[in-house]
Amino acid sequence: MTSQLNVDTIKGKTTEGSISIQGEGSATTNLQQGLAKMWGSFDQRGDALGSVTSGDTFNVTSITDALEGHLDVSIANDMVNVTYSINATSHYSGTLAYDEFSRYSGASNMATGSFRIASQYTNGGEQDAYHNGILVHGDLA
Amino acid sequence: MASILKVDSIGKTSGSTQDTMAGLAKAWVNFDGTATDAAARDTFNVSSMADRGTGLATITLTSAMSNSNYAGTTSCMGTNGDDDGRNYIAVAMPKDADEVYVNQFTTSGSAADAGYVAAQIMGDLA
Repeated sequence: MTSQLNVDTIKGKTTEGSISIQGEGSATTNLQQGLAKMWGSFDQRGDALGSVTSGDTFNVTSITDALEGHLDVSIANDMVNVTYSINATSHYSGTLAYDEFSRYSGASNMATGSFRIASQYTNGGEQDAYHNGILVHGDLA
Repeated sequence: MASILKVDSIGKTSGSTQDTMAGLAKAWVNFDGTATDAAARDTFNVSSMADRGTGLATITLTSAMSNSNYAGTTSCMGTNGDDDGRNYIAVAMPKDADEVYVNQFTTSGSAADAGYVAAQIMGDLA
């Protein structure tokens, strides 16, 4: 019979913030370390959702239009340090006519409660993007 | 004594379910590609880093993946923490089940060490 666990909160018994979990094979991994702590989709240019508008998000308080091509992202539940790992992607337009306009994106100004993402094109010039996707792994405070 | 819970699924009381294990990142790292041996700032499931040359770093995993077909995602900047820094390009390629090559380039395509490199590995553990 399939077993199903219905609970509101799961904590480690020995260490509340560390739960070992069996991987696909024989190795084990860590539940908390494998979970994304934050993700989101943001439109700065206004091509899809509206200018400086969030799409679906997790653990994001707000975004702020900092500069051309730069968004400041505020974290709801802070990270414990500033060495977390951020994957950022961006694209200029949401329309098929401009589907070759990929952009380069990266993170900077990392603080425990916020960071900045910058969308640029090949010569390094900043430009607002319609889609900014972020994915954060690391330790929550 | 350690307690062990064995269940087939973890989910909400309504809506669709998903494979919890498949959704977990199996490794992640934040490292400095400009430092000797591509110094890691923070990691999960990474045993060591190595510098293979300009723009070339190797991540060795503590617990290996089950094969070399896993997915690597990356994002990087030329300098770390610069509020007006330049984006670089990075790719995370499976070398072996326990080794990932992370190659970094400028946006003009030249190999270059990046000051901030983030990588995540998704796939099946061995």
